[in-house]
Amino acid sequence: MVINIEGLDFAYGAGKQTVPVLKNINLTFPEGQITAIIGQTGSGKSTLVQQLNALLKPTAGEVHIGDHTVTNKTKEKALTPIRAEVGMVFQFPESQLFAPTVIEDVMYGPKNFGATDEEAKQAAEKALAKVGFDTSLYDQSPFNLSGGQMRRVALAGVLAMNPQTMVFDEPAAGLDPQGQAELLDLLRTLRDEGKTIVLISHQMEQVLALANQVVVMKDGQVAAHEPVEELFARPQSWFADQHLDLPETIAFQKEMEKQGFVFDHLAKTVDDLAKQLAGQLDSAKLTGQRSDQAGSQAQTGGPHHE
Amino acid sequence: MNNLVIGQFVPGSGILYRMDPRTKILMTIVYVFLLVFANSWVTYLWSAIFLVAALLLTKQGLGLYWRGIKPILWLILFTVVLQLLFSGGTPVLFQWGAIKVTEPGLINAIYVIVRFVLIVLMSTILTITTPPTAIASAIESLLKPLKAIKVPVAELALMLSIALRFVPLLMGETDKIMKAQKSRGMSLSTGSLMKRAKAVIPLLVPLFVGALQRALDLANAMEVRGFESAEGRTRYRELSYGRDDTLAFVAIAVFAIGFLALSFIK
Ligand SMILES: Nc1ncnc2c1ncn2[C@@H]1O[C@H](COP(=O)(O)OP(=O)(O)OP(=O)(O)O)[C@@H](O)[C@H]1O
Ligand SMILES: [Mg+2]
Repeated sequence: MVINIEGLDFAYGAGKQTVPVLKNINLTFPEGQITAIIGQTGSGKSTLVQQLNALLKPTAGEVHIGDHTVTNKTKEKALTPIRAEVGMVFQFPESQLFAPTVIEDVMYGPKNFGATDEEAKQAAEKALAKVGFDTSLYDQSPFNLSGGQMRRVALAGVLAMNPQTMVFDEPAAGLDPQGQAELLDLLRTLRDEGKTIVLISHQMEQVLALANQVVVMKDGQVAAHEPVEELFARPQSWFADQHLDLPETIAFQKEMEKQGFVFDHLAKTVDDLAKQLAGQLDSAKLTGQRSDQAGSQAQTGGPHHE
Repeated sequence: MNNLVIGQFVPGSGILYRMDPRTKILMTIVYVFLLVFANSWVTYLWSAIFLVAALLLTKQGLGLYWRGIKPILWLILFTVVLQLLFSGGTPVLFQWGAIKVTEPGLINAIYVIVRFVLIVLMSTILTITTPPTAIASAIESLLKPLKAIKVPVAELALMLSIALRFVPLLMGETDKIMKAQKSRGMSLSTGSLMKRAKAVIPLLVPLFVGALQRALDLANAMEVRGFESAEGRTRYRELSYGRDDTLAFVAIAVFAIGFLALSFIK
C-alpha cells in the first residue's frame, strides 16, 4: 500500500484564528520501506504524520492512502477504516492504556475493527510475543507495570491490529539503550515482513541505521526528500542550517575528509568506519605520502573495503 | 475541543485588556445583577447597547462570540419552548389542541432569549480578555474580607488558580489520547446511546490516571520546594488600579443609573 500526499496545506484551528503549519507538501511513502522524518522541534513532523491515518484532514490538497482518498471534505465515518490500515504509535504511547488487564487492552484495537473475541485474543498474544512481553503478566493491570513494560503493551496494542503501514512518532523517547536497541530490532523485523514504516526521530544514529529514505522538515515545508546515503553526503553547513546534528560516525568521517582522507562510502557503523580508516592508513604507510601530500592522495582514494 | 469559547482567554489589546481584573469581575456582577430586574424592552435595549459597546472594545471578531453562543443554543431553545408553552394569559395568539401560545408567553420568551444571550456574552467578554491566573488573583483579592470570618481565602484562590492552570494541559492531553484511541478504531459517533457511553471509557480512564499522576507530581514538586501555606505568596503580576478602571466604574455607574431610570418608564 502506497501513501501519497499531493499539494497538501494544513492549518490548525478554524475561522479567523487559523495557524498555518504545513505548506505545499508533496511526498510518497514507498511500500515496504522505512521512511524517516527529521527536522527541528516545531517543524511540523507530528502534524504531517497525523495526515497519514487521517487523524487530521488536509486544509487543501489530497492524501491517498491505498484505495482511500482524504480531502478537506471527507466525512468522519469514512476515516475509521483507514486507521485499520495505518497504525499510529504516538510519543509516550503508554498514556493510552485503559483496560483492566494487559490482554484486554491489546485486544481493544482488533475488536474495534470487527475481530471476534477469539480472533482478537490470538492477535493480541501474537503482538505481545513480538514485543517480548512476559506471558505471565497478561492478566495484570497495565497500571502496575514498569514504564518499559507499559511501552511494550502500548506498542502491542497497535501491532495487534496488523496494519500494513505503521507510523512511529519518536517511539524511543525515554527508553534506556537496551530498550532502544530492542525497538530498532522490532522496526527491522516489521520491515522484513514487508510493512511500510514511517519513523519520526531526533536520533540521527537511528535514522542512519534504519531508514531507506529521509524527509527533512523545516518550517512546515519539505527541505529534503532523498535516500539516506544522499542526505548524509550533504555538507556539514547544510545540516547546521537545518539545526540538525550529524550521526557521530559521519561527523567524524567528514572531519577526516577535511584532513585529506577519502572514503568510498558513508560509514553506517563504527565498525565500518574503523575498517575504512584502517585501509586509508595502510595505503598511506605503503606510499609514504600521507603527511605531506594529503591533497593529491584525496584524488587517488584509498583501497576499498566493502 | 477548540470550539468552547467560554472560559478561554484570547490575547488582544485595548482598554478591556488593560483594566484591573477585579474591576471587570465587579462590572460583570453588577451587569448580570441588574439584568435580572430588566422588565421592559427599553431596559433590554439599554443593556444591549452597553454590551455591544463592550464587545467592540475587545476588538475581537464577532465570529468568536458566535462560537461562544453556539454550544448553548439548544439550552436557549429549550427554555424558550417552555416559556412559550407554559405561560398563560391573554390574548391567545395560536392554539393547537392543548398547545396554546399567548402574547405574554411570546414576549416572555423573547425576553428570556435576550437575557440569556446578554449574560453569556458579558461573561465571555470577561474570560476572553482576562487570563485565568488574573481571574484567580482577582477573586482572592475580592474575597479578602472573608478572612475575618476564618475562610481560607488564600488556599481557595491557590486551588482555583491551579485548577485553571490545568485546563489547557488537560485539553492537550484529551486531544492526544483521543487521537491515540481513534488510531485504534475508537468511534464516538456511531451506535446506541449505551454503546457511545461505553466508548468513552478508553478516553476517560487514561485522562483520569494522567491527571492524578500530574497532581501527585505537582504536590511533590511544591513540597520539595518548601511550600507550606498559600498565605502571603508573592505574585508574578501584581494587581493595580488605574485610570482605565476609574473610567470603567463611571461607565457602569452611567449604565446602572440609566437602567434604573428606564425601568420606571412603563
Ligand atoms: N493542536 C494544535 N493546535 C494548534 N497548533 C498546534 C497544535 N499542535 C501543534 N501545533 C503547532 O504546529 C507546529 C508544528 O507542531 P508539530 O507538533 O507538528 O511539530 P514537531 O515537528 O512534531 O515538533 P517536535 O519535534 O517538538 O515534536 C508548532 O508550531 C505547534 O505549535
Ligand atoms: Mg512531534
